[in-house]
Amino acid sequence: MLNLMSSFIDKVVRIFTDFEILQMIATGLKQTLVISTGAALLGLVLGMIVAMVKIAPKSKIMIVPKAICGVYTTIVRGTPMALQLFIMAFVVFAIRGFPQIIVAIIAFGINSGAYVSESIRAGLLSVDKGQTEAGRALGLKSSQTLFNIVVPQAMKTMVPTVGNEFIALIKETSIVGMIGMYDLTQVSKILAGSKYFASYLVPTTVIALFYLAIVYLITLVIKLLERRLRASDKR
Amino acid sequence: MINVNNIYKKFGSLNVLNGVSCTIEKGEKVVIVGPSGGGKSTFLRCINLLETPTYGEVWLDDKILTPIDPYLHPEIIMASKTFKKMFEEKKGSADEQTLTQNIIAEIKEKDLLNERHEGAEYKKLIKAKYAENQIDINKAREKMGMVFQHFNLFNNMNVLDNMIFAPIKLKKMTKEEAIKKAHALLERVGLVDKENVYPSTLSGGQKQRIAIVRALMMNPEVILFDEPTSALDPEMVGEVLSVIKDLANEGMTMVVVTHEMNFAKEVATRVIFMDEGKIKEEAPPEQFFTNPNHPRLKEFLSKVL
Repeated sequence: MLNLMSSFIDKVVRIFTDFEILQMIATGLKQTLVISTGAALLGLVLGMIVAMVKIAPKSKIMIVPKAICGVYTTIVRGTPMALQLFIMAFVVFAIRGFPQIIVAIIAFGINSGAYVSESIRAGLLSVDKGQTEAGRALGLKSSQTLFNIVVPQAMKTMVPTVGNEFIALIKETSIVGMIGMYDLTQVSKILAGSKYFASYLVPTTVIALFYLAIVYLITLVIKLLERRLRASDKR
Repeated sequence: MINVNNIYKKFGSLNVLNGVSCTIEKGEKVVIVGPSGGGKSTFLRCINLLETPTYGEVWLDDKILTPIDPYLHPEIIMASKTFKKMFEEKKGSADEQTLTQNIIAEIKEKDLLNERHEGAEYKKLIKAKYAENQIDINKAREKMGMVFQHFNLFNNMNVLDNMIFAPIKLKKMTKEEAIKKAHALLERVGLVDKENVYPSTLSGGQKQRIAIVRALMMNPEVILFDEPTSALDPEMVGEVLSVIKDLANEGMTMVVVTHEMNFAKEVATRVIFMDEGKIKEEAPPEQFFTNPNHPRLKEFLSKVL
Protein backbone atom coordinates (compact mmCIF):
# COMPACT_ATOMS: atom_id res chain seq x y z
CA MET A 1 0.00 0.00 0.00
CA LEU A 2 2.72 2.38 1.05
CA ASN A 3 4.70 1.32 -1.96
CA LEU A 4 1.79 2.10 -4.26
CA MET A 5 1.35 5.53 -2.71
CA SER A 6 4.96 6.47 -3.08
CA SER A 7 5.05 5.30 -6.67
CA PHE A 8 1.93 7.42 -7.36
CA ILE A 9 3.57 10.47 -5.82
CA ASP A 10 6.80 9.80 -7.68
CA LYS A 11 4.97 9.77 -10.95
CA VAL A 12 3.09 12.98 -10.21
CA VAL A 13 6.33 14.67 -9.25
CA ARG A 14 7.90 13.39 -12.45
CA ILE A 15 5.17 15.04 -14.52
CA PHE A 16 5.80 18.41 -12.94
CA THR A 17 9.59 18.20 -13.05
CA ASP A 18 10.33 16.57 -16.36
CA PHE A 19 10.87 19.41 -18.79
CA GLU A 20 9.79 17.39 -21.81
CA ILE A 21 6.52 16.35 -20.21
CA LEU A 22 5.84 19.91 -19.11
CA GLN A 23 6.42 21.08 -22.64
CA MET A 24 3.94 18.51 -23.93
CA ILE A 25 1.35 19.67 -21.43
CA ALA A 26 1.98 23.31 -22.31
CA THR A 27 1.42 22.60 -26.00
CA GLY A 28 -1.76 20.68 -25.27
CA LEU A 29 -3.01 23.31 -22.87
CA LYS A 30 -2.39 26.06 -25.40
CA GLN A 31 -4.29 24.13 -28.04
CA THR A 32 -7.24 23.55 -25.72
CA LEU A 33 -7.35 27.19 -24.66
CA VAL A 34 -7.00 28.59 -28.18
CA ILE A 35 -9.79 26.38 -29.52
CA SER A 36 -12.08 27.15 -26.54
CA THR A 37 -11.51 30.89 -26.61
CA GLY A 38 -11.84 31.18 -30.36
CA ALA A 39 -14.96 29.04 -30.40
CA ALA A 40 -16.46 30.94 -27.45
CA LEU A 41 -16.00 34.28 -29.22
CA LEU A 42 -17.36 32.95 -32.50
CA GLY A 43 -20.24 31.32 -30.63
CA LEU A 44 -21.05 34.55 -28.82
CA VAL A 45 -21.17 36.56 -32.03
CA LEU A 46 -23.23 33.90 -33.82
CA GLY A 47 -25.47 33.50 -30.79
CA MET A 48 -26.18 37.23 -30.58
CA ILE A 49 -27.03 37.48 -34.26
CA VAL A 50 -29.29 34.42 -34.18
CA ALA A 51 -31.03 35.58 -30.98
CA MET A 52 -31.69 39.02 -32.48
CA VAL A 53 -33.15 37.50 -35.61
CA LYS A 54 -35.32 35.15 -33.58
CA ILE A 55 -36.81 37.84 -31.34
CA ALA A 56 -37.32 40.36 -34.16
CA PRO A 57 -41.00 40.94 -34.92
CA LYS A 58 -42.40 38.87 -37.76
CA SER A 59 -42.27 40.67 -41.09
CA LYS A 60 -41.75 39.89 -44.76
CA ILE A 61 -38.02 40.60 -44.80
CA MET A 62 -37.44 38.48 -41.71
CA ILE A 63 -39.08 35.29 -43.01
CA VAL A 64 -35.93 33.89 -44.65
CA PRO A 65 -33.44 34.85 -41.89
CA LYS A 66 -35.81 33.46 -39.24
CA ALA A 67 -36.13 30.18 -41.15
CA ILE A 68 -32.35 29.90 -41.57
CA CYS A 69 -31.77 30.50 -37.85
CA GLY A 70 -34.43 27.95 -36.94
CA VAL A 71 -32.87 25.28 -39.14
CA TYR A 72 -29.41 26.15 -37.80
CA THR A 73 -30.29 25.63 -34.13
CA THR A 74 -32.31 22.51 -34.90
CA ILE A 75 -29.53 20.82 -36.83
CA VAL A 76 -26.70 21.83 -34.50
CA ARG A 77 -28.55 20.85 -31.35
CA GLY A 78 -29.89 17.69 -32.89
CA THR A 79 -26.61 16.10 -34.02
CA PRO A 80 -23.55 14.93 -32.05
CA MET A 81 -20.62 17.30 -31.71
CA ALA A 82 -18.15 14.64 -32.85
CA LEU A 83 -20.06 14.21 -36.08
CA GLN A 84 -20.15 17.95 -36.65
CA LEU A 85 -16.40 18.04 -36.13
CA PHE A 86 -15.89 15.24 -38.66
CA ILE A 87 -18.05 17.00 -41.22
CA MET A 88 -16.08 20.21 -40.80
CA ALA A 89 -12.69 18.47 -40.93
CA PHE A 90 -13.29 15.85 -43.60
CA VAL A 91 -16.04 17.32 -45.76
CA VAL A 92 -16.29 21.10 -45.60
CA PHE A 93 -12.63 21.87 -45.00
CA ALA A 94 -11.15 18.76 -46.56
CA ILE A 95 -8.42 20.91 -48.05
CA ARG A 96 -4.81 19.81 -47.87
CA GLY A 97 -2.82 22.04 -45.54
CA PHE A 98 -5.81 23.92 -44.15
CA PRO A 99 -4.94 24.71 -40.50
CA GLN A 100 -6.75 22.26 -38.24
CA ILE A 101 -7.03 24.75 -35.44
CA ILE A 102 -9.23 26.98 -37.61
CA VAL A 103 -11.38 23.98 -38.49
CA ALA A 104 -11.82 23.20 -34.80
CA ILE A 105 -12.62 26.80 -33.87
CA ILE A 106 -15.25 27.03 -36.60
CA ALA A 107 -16.80 23.67 -35.74
CA PHE A 108 -17.01 24.35 -32.01
CA GLY A 109 -17.99 27.99 -32.59
CA ILE A 110 -20.93 27.01 -34.78
CA ASN A 111 -21.98 24.43 -32.22
CA SER A 112 -21.68 26.82 -29.30
CA GLY A 113 -23.54 29.58 -31.18
CA ALA A 114 -26.69 27.50 -31.32
CA TYR A 115 -26.78 26.98 -27.56
CA VAL A 116 -25.68 30.53 -26.74
CA SER A 117 -28.38 31.96 -28.99
CA GLU A 118 -31.03 30.16 -26.95
CA SER A 119 -29.53 31.49 -23.70
CA ILE A 120 -29.48 35.03 -25.05
CA ARG A 121 -32.99 34.72 -26.40
CA ALA A 122 -34.25 33.42 -23.07
CA GLY A 123 -32.49 36.31 -21.33
CA LEU A 124 -34.04 38.93 -23.59
CA LEU A 125 -37.50 37.37 -23.20
CA SER A 126 -37.13 37.30 -19.42
CA VAL A 127 -37.26 41.10 -19.29
CA ASP A 128 -40.79 42.35 -18.71
CA LYS A 129 -42.47 43.73 -21.83
CA GLY A 130 -43.41 46.82 -19.84
CA GLN A 131 -39.77 47.91 -19.86
CA THR A 132 -39.76 48.06 -23.65
CA GLU A 133 -43.13 49.76 -23.71
CA ALA A 134 -42.00 52.41 -21.26
CA GLY A 135 -38.94 53.11 -23.40
CA ARG A 136 -40.90 53.30 -26.62
CA ALA A 137 -43.60 55.45 -25.02
CA LEU A 138 -40.94 58.03 -24.15
CA GLY A 139 -40.02 58.26 -27.82
CA LEU A 140 -36.91 56.06 -27.76
CA LYS A 141 -36.24 53.99 -30.87
CA SER A 142 -36.52 50.23 -30.58
CA SER A 143 -32.74 49.82 -30.88
CA GLN A 144 -32.13 52.43 -28.16
CA THR A 145 -34.63 50.67 -25.91
CA LEU A 146 -33.12 47.26 -26.64
CA PHE A 147 -29.50 48.14 -25.96
CA ASN A 148 -29.93 50.58 -23.07
CA ILE A 149 -32.83 49.07 -21.18
CA VAL A 150 -33.54 45.46 -22.15
CA VAL A 151 -30.03 44.07 -22.72
CA PRO A 152 -28.55 45.33 -19.40
CA GLN A 153 -31.41 43.64 -17.56
CA ALA A 154 -31.25 40.49 -19.67
CA MET A 155 -27.56 40.14 -18.77
CA LYS A 156 -28.54 38.99 -15.30
CA THR A 157 -30.19 35.85 -16.65
CA MET A 158 -27.82 35.51 -19.60
CA VAL A 159 -24.47 35.52 -17.81
CA PRO A 160 -24.94 32.32 -15.76
CA THR A 161 -26.38 30.30 -18.65
CA VAL A 162 -23.92 31.56 -21.26
CA GLY A 163 -21.14 30.95 -18.75
CA ASN A 164 -22.36 27.41 -18.33
CA GLU A 165 -22.25 26.97 -22.06
CA PHE A 166 -18.60 28.10 -22.14
CA ILE A 167 -17.69 25.69 -19.40
CA ALA A 168 -19.31 22.86 -21.33
CA LEU A 169 -17.50 24.02 -24.46
CA ILE A 170 -14.05 23.77 -22.87
CA LYS A 171 -14.64 20.18 -21.88
CA GLU A 172 -16.24 19.36 -25.20
CA THR A 173 -13.03 20.37 -27.03
CA SER A 174 -11.44 17.21 -25.59
CA ILE A 175 -12.71 15.33 -28.65
CA VAL A 176 -10.42 17.14 -31.10
CA GLY A 177 -8.06 14.21 -30.80
CA MET A 178 -10.54 12.41 -33.04
CA ILE A 179 -9.42 14.53 -36.01
CA GLY A 180 -5.78 14.12 -35.04
CA MET A 181 -5.27 17.30 -33.05
CA TYR A 182 -3.11 17.48 -30.00
CA ASP A 183 -4.88 18.95 -26.95
CA LEU A 184 -4.72 18.37 -23.19
CA THR A 185 -6.71 15.15 -23.34
CA GLN A 186 -4.41 13.78 -26.03
CA VAL A 187 -1.42 14.57 -23.82
CA SER A 188 -2.84 12.36 -21.08
CA LYS A 189 -3.38 9.58 -23.57
CA ILE A 190 0.17 9.79 -24.90
CA LEU A 191 1.67 9.91 -21.42
CA ALA A 192 -0.40 6.91 -20.38
CA GLY A 193 1.04 4.95 -23.26
CA SER A 194 4.62 5.87 -22.46
CA LYS A 195 7.06 3.40 -20.99
CA TYR A 196 7.49 5.24 -17.72
CA PHE A 197 3.81 5.62 -16.73
CA ALA A 198 2.38 2.57 -18.47
CA SER A 199 -0.99 3.31 -16.87
CA TYR A 200 -3.80 5.83 -17.25
CA LEU A 201 -4.05 6.53 -13.54
CA VAL A 202 -1.53 9.31 -13.02
CA PRO A 203 -1.65 11.13 -16.38
CA THR A 204 -5.47 11.29 -16.48
CA THR A 205 -5.67 12.44 -12.86
CA VAL A 206 -3.20 15.24 -13.42
CA ILE A 207 -4.77 16.38 -16.69
CA ALA A 208 -8.21 16.27 -15.06
CA LEU A 209 -6.87 18.67 -12.46
CA PHE A 210 -5.86 21.03 -15.25
CA TYR A 211 -9.39 21.05 -16.67
CA LEU A 212 -10.80 21.48 -13.18
CA ALA A 213 -8.57 24.48 -12.55
CA ILE A 214 -9.61 26.19 -15.79
CA VAL A 215 -13.30 25.60 -15.15
CA TYR A 216 -13.00 26.74 -11.55
CA LEU A 217 -11.37 29.99 -12.66
CA ILE A 218 -14.15 30.65 -15.15
CA THR A 219 -16.78 29.91 -12.53
CA LEU A 220 -15.20 32.52 -10.30
CA VAL A 221 -15.28 35.12 -13.07
CA ILE A 222 -18.95 34.36 -13.78
CA LYS A 223 -19.82 34.74 -10.10
CA LEU A 224 -18.04 38.07 -9.93
CA LEU A 225 -19.83 39.30 -13.02
CA GLU A 226 -23.17 38.16 -11.64
CA ARG A 227 -22.62 39.99 -8.40
CA ARG A 228 -21.85 43.21 -10.23
CA LEU A 229 -24.92 42.86 -12.42
CA ARG A 230 -27.15 42.36 -9.41
CA ALA A 231 -26.10 45.67 -7.88
CA SER A 232 -29.43 47.24 -8.86
CA ASP A 233 -31.38 44.55 -6.99
CA LYS A 234 -30.02 45.53 -3.59
CA ARG A 235 -32.61 46.69 -1.15
CA MET B 1 -55.33 67.79 -30.52
CA ILE B 2 -55.81 64.01 -30.65
CA ASN B 3 -58.26 62.70 -33.15
CA VAL B 4 -59.07 59.01 -33.12
CA ASN B 5 -61.11 58.08 -36.15
CA ASN B 6 -63.09 54.86 -36.22
CA ILE B 7 -60.46 52.48 -34.90
CA TYR B 8 -60.86 48.73 -34.72
CA LYS B 9 -58.48 46.40 -32.95
CA LYS B 10 -58.51 42.67 -33.40
CA PHE B 11 -56.36 40.21 -31.48
CA GLY B 12 -56.75 37.10 -33.60
CA SER B 13 -60.46 36.49 -33.70
CA LEU B 14 -61.13 38.65 -30.66
CA ASN B 15 -62.51 42.10 -31.44
CA VAL B 16 -61.32 44.39 -28.68
CA LEU B 17 -62.21 47.69 -30.29
CA ASN B 18 -65.18 47.98 -32.60
CA GLY B 19 -65.11 51.38 -34.19
CA VAL B 20 -64.08 53.97 -31.63
CA SER B 21 -63.96 57.64 -32.57
CA CYS B 22 -62.99 60.36 -30.18
CA THR B 23 -61.52 63.84 -30.29
CA ILE B 24 -59.50 65.20 -27.42
CA GLU B 25 -58.92 68.95 -27.33
CA LYS B 26 -56.06 70.76 -25.67
CA GLY B 27 -56.64 71.19 -21.94
CA GLU B 28 -59.29 68.50 -21.70
CA LYS B 29 -59.17 65.90 -18.97
CA VAL B 30 -60.87 62.85 -20.37
CA VAL B 31 -61.54 60.01 -17.98
CA ILE B 32 -62.43 56.60 -19.39
CA VAL B 33 -64.30 54.14 -17.21
CA GLY B 34 -65.96 50.82 -17.86
CA PRO B 35 -65.88 47.13 -17.05
CA SER B 36 -62.68 45.11 -17.45
CA GLY B 37 -62.19 43.76 -20.94
CA GLY B 38 -64.20 46.61 -22.39
CA GLY B 39 -61.28 47.93 -24.41
CA LYS B 40 -60.31 50.95 -22.29
CA SER B 41 -56.62 50.17 -22.00
CA THR B 42 -56.36 48.98 -25.59
CA PHE B 43 -57.94 52.23 -26.73
CA LEU B 44 -55.42 54.23 -24.71
CA ARG B 45 -52.54 52.16 -26.05
CA CYS B 46 -53.77 52.71 -29.60
CA ILE B 47 -53.47 56.47 -29.13
CA ASN B 48 -49.68 56.31 -28.88
CA LEU B 49 -49.51 53.21 -31.04
CA LEU B 50 -48.22 50.79 -28.44
CA GLU B 51 -50.94 48.76 -30.11
CA THR B 52 -51.44 49.28 -33.83
CA PRO B 53 -55.12 49.59 -34.69
CA THR B 54 -56.32 47.04 -37.23
CA TYR B 55 -58.36 49.69 -39.05
CA GLY B 56 -58.90 53.38 -38.54
CA GLU B 57 -56.67 56.36 -38.07
CA VAL B 58 -55.09 58.19 -35.17
CA TRP B 59 -54.16 61.83 -35.68
CA LEU B 60 -52.06 64.05 -33.47
CA ASP B 61 -52.77 67.65 -34.42
CA ASP B 62 -52.43 67.56 -38.22
CA LYS B 63 -50.19 64.51 -38.35
CA ILE B 64 -51.25 60.92 -38.87
CA LEU B 65 -49.68 58.20 -36.73
CA THR B 66 -51.30 55.15 -38.31
CA PRO B 67 -51.28 54.17 -41.98
CA ILE B 68 -54.01 55.78 -44.10
CA ASP B 69 -57.32 53.95 -43.82
CA PRO B 70 -58.86 54.22 -47.29
CA TYR B 71 -62.39 53.72 -45.98
CA LEU B 72 -62.22 57.05 -44.18
CA HIS B 73 -61.47 59.01 -47.32
CA PRO B 74 -64.22 59.13 -49.97
CA GLU B 75 -61.84 60.56 -52.56
CA ILE B 76 -59.59 57.52 -52.14
CA ILE B 77 -62.51 55.12 -52.46
CA MET B 78 -63.60 56.93 -55.59
CA ALA B 79 -60.17 56.39 -57.12
CA SER B 80 -60.40 52.64 -56.66
CA LYS B 81 -61.12 50.21 -59.48
CA THR B 82 -63.84 48.60 -57.40
CA PHE B 83 -65.70 51.88 -57.17
CA LYS B 84 -65.28 52.65 -60.86
CA LYS B 85 -66.54 49.22 -61.82
CA MET B 86 -69.60 49.47 -59.60
CA PHE B 87 -70.25 52.97 -60.86
CA GLU B 88 -70.20 51.79 -64.47
CA GLU B 89 -72.59 48.96 -63.68
CA LYS B 90 -75.16 51.08 -61.91
CA LYS B 91 -74.86 54.20 -64.02
CA GLY B 92 -78.20 55.83 -64.68
CA SER B 93 -80.09 54.13 -61.87
CA ALA B 94 -79.94 57.33 -59.84
CA ASP B 95 -78.43 60.78 -60.14
CA GLU B 96 -74.67 60.80 -59.95
CA GLN B 97 -74.31 62.23 -56.48
CA THR B 98 -76.60 59.80 -54.68
CA LEU B 99 -75.21 56.92 -56.68
CA THR B 100 -71.68 57.86 -55.60
CA GLN B 101 -72.74 58.07 -51.99
CA ASN B 102 -74.56 54.76 -52.14
CA ILE B 103 -71.63 52.98 -53.65
CA ILE B 104 -69.21 54.42 -51.11
CA ALA B 105 -71.53 53.30 -48.34
CA GLU B 106 -71.77 49.83 -49.82
CA ILE B 107 -68.02 49.50 -50.23
CA LYS B 108 -67.48 50.57 -46.63
CA GLU B 109 -70.08 48.24 -45.29
CA LYS B 110 -69.01 45.16 -47.21
CA ASP B 111 -65.28 45.82 -46.94
CA LEU B 112 -64.89 45.56 -50.72
CA LEU B 113 -61.55 47.28 -51.20
CA ASN B 114 -58.64 45.01 -51.92
CA GLU B 115 -55.31 46.81 -51.65
CA ARG B 116 -53.73 44.79 -54.46
CA HIS B 117 -56.32 45.25 -57.16
CA GLU B 118 -57.31 48.86 -56.87
CA GLY B 119 -54.94 50.26 -59.45
CA ALA B 120 -52.22 52.87 -59.62
CA GLU B 121 -54.38 55.95 -59.06
CA TYR B 122 -55.69 54.59 -55.78
CA LYS B 123 -52.24 53.65 -54.53
CA LYS B 124 -50.78 56.97 -55.56
CA LEU B 125 -53.48 58.83 -53.68
CA ILE B 126 -52.87 56.87 -50.48
CA LYS B 127 -49.13 57.36 -50.79
CA ALA B 128 -49.46 61.07 -51.38
CA LYS B 129 -51.88 61.53 -48.50
CA TYR B 130 -49.57 59.63 -46.18
CA ALA B 131 -46.43 61.44 -47.28
CA GLU B 132 -48.15 64.77 -46.72
CA ASN B 133 -49.29 64.04 -43.18
CA GLN B 134 -47.03 61.42 -41.71
CA ILE B 135 -44.81 61.91 -38.69
CA ASP B 136 -42.13 59.69 -37.22
CA ILE B 137 -43.89 57.73 -34.48
CA ASN B 138 -41.01 58.33 -32.06
CA LYS B 139 -41.31 62.08 -32.54
CA ALA B 140 -45.04 61.84 -31.91
CA ARG B 141 -44.52 59.81 -28.76
CA GLU B 142 -42.25 62.50 -27.35
CA LYS B 143 -45.34 64.68 -27.22
CA MET B 144 -47.48 62.03 -25.55
CA GLY B 145 -46.36 60.92 -22.12
CA MET B 146 -47.60 57.63 -20.78
CA VAL B 147 -47.99 56.31 -17.25
CA PHE B 148 -48.53 52.57 -16.82
CA GLN B 149 -50.41 50.47 -14.33
CA HIS B 150 -47.24 48.64 -13.35
CA PHE B 151 -45.05 51.78 -13.37
CA ASN B 152 -42.42 50.24 -15.66
CA LEU B 153 -39.52 52.19 -14.24
CA PHE B 154 -36.26 51.05 -15.83
CA ASN B 155 -34.92 48.54 -13.30
CA ASN B 156 -31.33 48.91 -14.42
CA MET B 157 -31.21 52.64 -13.73
CA ASN B 158 -31.51 54.69 -10.59
CA VAL B 159 -34.30 57.23 -10.19
CA LEU B 160 -32.37 60.14 -11.65
CA ASP B 161 -31.21 58.14 -14.68
CA ASN B 162 -34.75 56.91 -15.22
CA MET B 163 -35.78 60.52 -15.57
CA ILE B 164 -32.91 61.99 -17.57
CA PHE B 165 -32.10 59.08 -19.88
CA ALA B 166 -34.68 59.69 -22.60
CA PRO B 167 -34.47 63.52 -22.74
CA ILE B 168 -30.69 63.36 -23.06
CA LYS B 169 -30.66 60.45 -25.50
CA LEU B 170 -33.23 62.18 -27.68
CA LYS B 171 -31.34 65.45 -27.45
CA LYS B 172 -34.25 67.33 -25.93
CA MET B 173 -31.90 68.91 -23.41
CA THR B 174 -28.32 68.82 -22.17
CA LYS B 175 -27.36 66.72 -19.20
CA GLU B 176 -27.16 69.77 -16.92
CA GLU B 177 -30.59 71.00 -17.98
CA ALA B 178 -32.05 67.53 -17.54
CA ILE B 179 -30.64 67.13 -14.04
CA LYS B 180 -31.90 70.56 -13.06
CA LYS B 181 -35.36 69.80 -14.34
CA ALA B 182 -35.34 66.37 -12.69
CA HIS B 183 -34.46 67.91 -9.34
CA ALA B 184 -37.28 70.43 -9.63
CA LEU B 185 -39.76 67.68 -10.48
CA LEU B 186 -38.54 65.39 -7.70
CA GLU B 187 -38.97 68.24 -5.25
CA ARG B 188 -42.47 68.73 -6.49
CA VAL B 189 -43.46 65.13 -5.73
CA GLY B 190 -41.48 65.08 -2.50
CA LEU B 191 -38.91 62.47 -3.52
CA VAL B 192 -35.67 64.46 -3.71
CA ASP B 193 -33.90 62.08 -1.33
CA LYS B 194 -34.60 59.13 -3.66
CA GLU B 195 -32.65 60.38 -6.65
CA ASN B 196 -29.83 57.83 -6.33
CA VAL B 197 -31.76 54.73 -5.34
CA TYR B 198 -32.90 51.95 -7.64
CA PRO B 199 -36.61 51.37 -8.33
CA SER B 200 -36.62 48.05 -6.45
CA THR B 201 -36.23 49.95 -3.17
CA LEU B 202 -39.29 52.16 -3.70
CA SER B 203 -42.90 51.61 -2.65
CA GLY B 204 -45.60 51.40 -5.30
CA GLY B 205 -46.78 54.92 -4.68
CA GLN B 206 -43.26 56.28 -4.92
CA LYS B 207 -42.64 54.33 -8.13
CA GLN B 208 -45.76 55.73 -9.73
CA ARG B 209 -44.90 59.30 -8.73
CA ILE B 210 -41.46 58.83 -10.31
CA ALA B 211 -43.10 57.37 -13.41
CA ILE B 212 -45.28 60.47 -13.69
CA VAL B 213 -42.37 62.89 -13.39
CA ARG B 214 -40.37 60.75 -15.82
CA ALA B 215 -43.13 61.35 -18.36
CA LEU B 216 -43.11 65.08 -17.50
CA MET B 217 -39.38 65.31 -18.23
CA MET B 218 -40.18 65.19 -21.95
CA ASN B 219 -42.50 68.21 -21.69
CA PRO B 220 -45.38 66.28 -23.23
CA GLU B 221 -48.48 67.98 -24.57
CA VAL B 222 -50.71 65.24 -23.26
CA ILE B 223 -50.30 62.42 -20.76
CA LEU B 224 -52.02 59.06 -21.07
CA PHE B 225 -52.66 57.33 -17.76
CA ASP B 226 -53.34 53.59 -17.95
CA GLU B 227 -54.97 52.64 -14.63
CA PRO B 228 -52.30 54.53 -12.66
CA THR B 229 -53.59 53.44 -9.25
CA SER B 230 -54.84 49.91 -9.92
CA ALA B 231 -51.65 48.18 -8.79
CA LEU B 232 -51.26 50.24 -5.60
CA ASP B 233 -52.01 49.50 -1.99
CA PRO B 234 -55.10 51.46 -0.97
CA GLU B 235 -53.14 53.79 1.28
CA MET B 236 -50.91 54.84 -1.61
CA VAL B 237 -53.68 55.68 -4.05
CA GLY B 238 -54.17 59.12 -2.56
CA GLU B 239 -50.60 60.33 -2.99
CA VAL B 240 -50.58 59.38 -6.67
CA LEU B 241 -54.01 60.82 -7.40
CA SER B 242 -53.06 64.12 -5.79
CA VAL B 243 -50.06 64.42 -8.12
CA ILE B 244 -52.35 63.78 -11.10
CA LYS B 245 -54.89 66.31 -9.80
CA ASP B 246 -52.18 68.95 -9.45
CA LEU B 247 -51.19 68.33 -13.04
CA ALA B 248 -54.80 68.63 -14.13
CA ASN B 249 -55.19 71.93 -12.31
CA GLU B 250 -52.15 73.26 -14.14
CA GLY B 251 -53.95 72.66 -17.41
CA MET B 252 -52.19 69.51 -18.62
CA THR B 253 -54.20 67.64 -21.22
CA MET B 254 -54.80 64.11 -20.02
CA VAL B 255 -56.58 60.91 -20.84
CA VAL B 256 -57.05 58.70 -17.80
CA VAL B 257 -58.28 55.12 -17.70
CA THR B 258 -59.28 54.42 -14.12
CA HIS B 259 -61.64 52.71 -11.71
CA GLU B 260 -61.57 55.65 -9.31
CA MET B 261 -65.03 57.15 -9.77
CA ASN B 262 -64.44 59.97 -7.29
CA PHE B 263 -61.38 61.01 -9.23
CA ALA B 264 -63.46 61.06 -12.40
CA LYS B 265 -66.10 63.24 -10.74
CA GLU B 266 -63.54 65.68 -9.41
CA VAL B 267 -61.08 66.04 -12.26
CA ALA B 268 -62.73 65.09 -15.53
CA THR B 269 -64.04 67.58 -18.03
CA ARG B 270 -65.55 64.64 -19.88
CA VAL B 271 -66.19 61.05 -18.88
CA ILE B 272 -66.35 58.23 -21.40
CA PHE B 273 -67.98 54.88 -20.75
CA MET B 274 -66.52 52.06 -22.80
CA ASP B 275 -67.89 48.56 -23.06
CA GLU B 276 -67.62 45.82 -25.68
CA GLY B 277 -65.05 47.85 -27.58
CA LYS B 278 -67.31 50.82 -28.12
CA ILE B 279 -67.93 54.20 -26.57
CA LYS B 280 -71.37 53.72 -25.06
CA GLU B 281 -71.72 57.09 -23.40
CA GLU B 282 -69.80 60.31 -23.29
CA ALA B 283 -70.76 63.25 -21.08
CA PRO B 284 -69.54 65.87 -18.60
CA PRO B 285 -69.16 64.29 -15.15
CA GLU B 286 -72.25 65.90 -13.57
CA GLN B 287 -74.50 64.49 -16.22
CA PHE B 288 -72.58 61.23 -16.52
CA PHE B 289 -72.98 60.27 -12.88
CA THR B 290 -76.38 61.78 -12.05
CA ASN B 291 -78.23 61.26 -15.27
CA PRO B 292 -76.81 58.35 -17.25
CA ASN B 293 -78.66 57.32 -20.41
CA HIS B 294 -77.33 54.00 -21.56
CA PRO B 295 -78.78 51.04 -19.64
CA ARG B 296 -75.38 49.32 -19.52
CA LEU B 297 -73.92 52.44 -17.89
CA LYS B 298 -76.75 52.60 -15.36
CA GLU B 299 -76.05 49.02 -14.42
CA PHE B 300 -72.31 49.68 -14.20
CA LEU B 301 -72.74 52.75 -12.02
CA SER B 302 -75.14 50.98 -9.70
CA LYS B 303 -72.43 48.40 -9.07
CA VAL B 304 -69.45 50.68 -8.57
CA LEU B 305 -70.93 53.66 -6.75
